Amino acid sequence: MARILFHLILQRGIDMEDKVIEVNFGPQHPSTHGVLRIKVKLDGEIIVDAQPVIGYLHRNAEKLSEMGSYPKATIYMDRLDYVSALNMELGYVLTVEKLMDAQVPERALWIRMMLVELNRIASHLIWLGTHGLDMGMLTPFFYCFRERERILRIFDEISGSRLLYNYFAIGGVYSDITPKSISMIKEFVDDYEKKLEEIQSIFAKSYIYVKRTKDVGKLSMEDSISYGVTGPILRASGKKWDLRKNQPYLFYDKVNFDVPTRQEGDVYARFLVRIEEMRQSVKIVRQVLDKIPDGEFYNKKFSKPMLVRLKATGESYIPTESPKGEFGVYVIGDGSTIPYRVRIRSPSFANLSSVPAMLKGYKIADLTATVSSIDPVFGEVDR
Amino acid sequence: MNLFFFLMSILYGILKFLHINFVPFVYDGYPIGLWIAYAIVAVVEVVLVFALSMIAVVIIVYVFRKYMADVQNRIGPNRVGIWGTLQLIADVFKLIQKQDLIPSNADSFGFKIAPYIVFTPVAIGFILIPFGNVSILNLMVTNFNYTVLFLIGVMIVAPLGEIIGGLSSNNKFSLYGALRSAAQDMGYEVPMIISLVSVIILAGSYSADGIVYAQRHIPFIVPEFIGFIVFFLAMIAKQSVPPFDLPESGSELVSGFSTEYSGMRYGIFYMANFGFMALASFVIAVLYLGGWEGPIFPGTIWLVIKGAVFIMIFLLTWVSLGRVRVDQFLNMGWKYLLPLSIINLLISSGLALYLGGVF
Amino acid sequence: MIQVESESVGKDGTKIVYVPKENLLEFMKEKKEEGFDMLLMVTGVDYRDHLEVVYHLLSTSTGNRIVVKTKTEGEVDSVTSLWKGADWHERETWDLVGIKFRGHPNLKRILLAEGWVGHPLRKDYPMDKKQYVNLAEDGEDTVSFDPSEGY
Repeated sequence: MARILFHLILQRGIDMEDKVIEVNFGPQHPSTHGVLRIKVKLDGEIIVDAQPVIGYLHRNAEKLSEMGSYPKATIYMDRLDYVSALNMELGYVLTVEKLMDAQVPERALWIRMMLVELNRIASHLIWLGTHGLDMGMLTPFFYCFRERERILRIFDEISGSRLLYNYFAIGGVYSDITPKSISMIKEFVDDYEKKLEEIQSIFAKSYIYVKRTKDVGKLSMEDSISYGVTGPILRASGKKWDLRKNQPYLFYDKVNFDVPTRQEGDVYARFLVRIEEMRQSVKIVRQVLDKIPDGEFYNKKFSKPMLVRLKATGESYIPTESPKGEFGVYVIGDGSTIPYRVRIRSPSFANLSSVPAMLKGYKIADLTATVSSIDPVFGEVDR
Repeated sequence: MNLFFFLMSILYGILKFLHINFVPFVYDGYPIGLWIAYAIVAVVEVVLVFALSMIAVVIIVYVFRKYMADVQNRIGPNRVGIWGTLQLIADVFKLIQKQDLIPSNADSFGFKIAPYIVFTPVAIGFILIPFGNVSILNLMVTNFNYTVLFLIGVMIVAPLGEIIGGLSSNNKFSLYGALRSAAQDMGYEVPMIISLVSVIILAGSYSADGIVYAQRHIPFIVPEFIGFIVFFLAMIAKQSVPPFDLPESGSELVSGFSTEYSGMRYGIFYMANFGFMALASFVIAVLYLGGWEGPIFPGTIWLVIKGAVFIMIFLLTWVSLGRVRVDQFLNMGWKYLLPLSIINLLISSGLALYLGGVF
Repeated sequence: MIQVESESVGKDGTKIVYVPKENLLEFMKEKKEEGFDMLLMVTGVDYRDHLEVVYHLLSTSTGNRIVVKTKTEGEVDSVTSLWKGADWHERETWDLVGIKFRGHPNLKRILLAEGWVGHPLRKDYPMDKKQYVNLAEDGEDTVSFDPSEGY
């Protein structure tokens, strides 16, 4: 064993003056939410520098989208942020509809809004469960996944698949919602808030959790804006910026909801913001359930066999508010049936680039707390 | 009179009856036959207690899995055996048949010996606990005058095994786990020993038996409530159970010091973990709750009940609380536990002086 | 005031301006002072005879958006000094489209392995030639055209 210590000292060059070691939190690690590698320079337990290395899940969805038709690219968008796939589809579909000058019937827009909010709740539930796991609490994981199971069953009923939907079409949605799914949604919405209270109290009343997340991983508002960070992280740093209120799309200006904001910018603030967002999403779903008009759910001009032959010109970028931040797809069409350039603005990419600023000077035990509070999903970061 | 001497004298009687007493040979004043009886009874009793502790571990693991599953709203193991009782045996079979991997640049001697260093205190500790008395017979394996001191000395060795295991695996995560184990050890060892010393002062005896005897009027939890809290927290820390499971932080450092361990070596760490939980609850029951004293039922059942209460309390904290950070833990250890244990020491010394020989 | 080359409006209603690449940094400084405090993304587009870099800017105080484009043959000034988020976006543009950013602190590949040959999002990238990546002993990636050496 003395031999091992000697080896370590010689290899890593740890001597009395230079105490900085470089540790690799490698791509396989139980607490990075996917394949993330962070090269951390440590001085004892204090982090001096943390550089994320990404690219382990790079499938180049942008190039793949350039090789098929417009509706085919919807599938690649699904697989970006796979825990909230409908938000990804929404961003793409809104842009392409602008390019093709498509009119979407009202019923389809209301359906889209309701399902996107349900997906937001599902995404935040995954975040909550895995965040508890990172903090050492094994129990909230199961409670969150039990709730998410109910949402996945609703999606299964509506679109036929639990996780990757391919449900939003250019020009509407592919199938109507059935009365059975409406009753499932009503059931879910009725008692979700009680369950959320229960889960929130596990975290908020735990003194250990609060001590570990207060004043940890602080990001100031100026830094957030400079790094391009949006979503719950920006709102927890003090800036009240939510695309659903500031630049509304779909029918968000016709429903009432609040935008939670906190001032501190630490991990606990982000936790509170996300919990409150879940409550507001439930409020939106309740209002939309009453307001869905009857009518067509699909613009017949864009029916499937014709869709592959439709041409699009111009360029457009419609930003939407996904659970992680501002998501949008910038599409350049050159007049043919194949997109010329598809560029995906993924929020987790920008959020993750602020990790060095968030971690400098904190301890190594704060690394997992901070990275999990950003909630990166690597399908989105690496595309 | 001790069960040990009782059994020994019976065995000597049997040997004499069979004319195997070697009377002409005398060693240290006793005939050889007596020494043979001594050796045989010693081995049998130790093996019995060890087996009992293993049974305790099996029961605790089963209860833990079912209880954790219930808290998390699912059913635990329920396929192997009736209601899943044989699950641990199935796991042991699985672990035994795994390939024994030792990392290439690891120090193989340290790597191999570390699990045993962690496990041995558990085995030894059970020998020192008094299990009750049946009329004049004390049910304990040994009864020399310093059992509690010996117990502390033995329990201190356990974190050393974790450190050796972590350092011998050639892996930075294990290194961090080992360093955290050392840090955690520093945080709670001193308050634990000080609160133990206050119990000894009040009881007036270093042996576990004497401490139980001293609690026959009132269990020590009443005069030494602060010491009880300190000792309880220190025991949670010593077993590496959440909220204080820093050396083996499951999601932060892969698996801490036991990252490179697989197969039965890991199985020994696992059993040592739960065995220590049993040992710690029995120790707390003996020191603070009065051991096997109690009305109506025989003493052993009372000790088991008190131990079981503490085991359930440990399991409850395991499933519900998160993990503290290293510096917060050391903060707690040095800034709060240590002064509290010293205050407790002063209180108990004052009580012992004032009340004279009541206990 | 920097003169823009041309202005138009995209299909979603945002203003698109073309800026000559020598004046790009000045123009961006002006825009930042006007209140466009967030850089959303940096895109590289390969029109077959020239490359273009597209910047999307957003002002969080007023909600205005603007799209700034420049034409280039392969090199542009970096705006990392104005917005910190440009760092990773420019690395990605270099990685996938092959546009060099002058003044960038750390212009290395970010999504692909370091030794990769070619820039995939160009229209003339050979799609049939596969490259194989493997992890070497010292932790860095190795890339080669030989299928036996990697995945």
